[in-house]
Amino acid sequence: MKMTCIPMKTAAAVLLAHHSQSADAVESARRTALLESLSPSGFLWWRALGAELFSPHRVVWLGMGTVWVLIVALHFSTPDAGGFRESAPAGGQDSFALISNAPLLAQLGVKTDAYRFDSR
Amino acid sequence: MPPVAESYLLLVQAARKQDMGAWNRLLKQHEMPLFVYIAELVQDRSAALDLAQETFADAVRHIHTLRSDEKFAPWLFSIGHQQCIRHWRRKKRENAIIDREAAADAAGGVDGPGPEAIESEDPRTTLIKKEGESEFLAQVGRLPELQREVFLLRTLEDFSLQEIAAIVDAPVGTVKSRLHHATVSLRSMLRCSRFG
Repeated sequence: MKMTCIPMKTAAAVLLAHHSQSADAVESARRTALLESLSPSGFLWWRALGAELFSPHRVVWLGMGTVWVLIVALHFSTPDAGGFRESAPAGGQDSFALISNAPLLAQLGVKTDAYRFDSR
Repeated sequence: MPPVAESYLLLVQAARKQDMGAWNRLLKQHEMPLFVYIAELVQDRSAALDLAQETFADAVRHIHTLRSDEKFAPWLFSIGHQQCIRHWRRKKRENAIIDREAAADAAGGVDGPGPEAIESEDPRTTLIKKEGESEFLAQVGRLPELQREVFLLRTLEDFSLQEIAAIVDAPVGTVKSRLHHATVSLRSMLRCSRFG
């Protein structure tokens, strides 16, 4: 019995011929897949946006995202020495109202040491 | 694979822009080899049709992940390969559930052919298998999955060892070894004169 290699092209032809009866079904599968994937209902704008905008520059986007996350993390991790986050200082209008009334408050016996510099 | 023609590259570029005509022509070139590859791997025609359809749809959806236009065919086959792996995992889970349900029924060997292979072994098929080509096909079906996939990729699309390694996600040396073992197994069973 002669034992030699199997010619690759012939083997491919045998395999393709064996499945040739499925050719129509495969073609139909291809058409269905393309219709579903390329039709307007199947075309998702966010996917296209991702493909056009995000994917080609993903390193840049990820880098920027990381920087922002770090900035936010650092901001909230530093101690609130001035106590600004807990109680905001009085606005300009409020301060002016207090300063204007300092003499009246003094007459009423209310200590206005905080505003002494204004009463001079 | 032989050098890629310029017209082929133009088709890939048009496909990137979601051109239906380009997609049709591109996939038409590869659909039968891809289907045969999947069908021979999963040994189930209807499942292979579903997997081929999913592969086409995935290719359209993820064309932006294709880095090099010349590598479209290996890329398409790698999607098909991943679909087969997912199919096997699903099958394994389903079989595990069935096995648990039918725990009392201890018939059937663990190392024998899979359930699909057993189903296909009807008397008519056995008779046809005595013919040369059917004998070859049956022998291909009997190859271990890892050997079968590299053999099919080499045979159907004439992919290079590097391309096959990328598709099956294995080192080139491993691919070479699997291909060698597959060829030796087939050679020992078949005579060249039947296919020459």
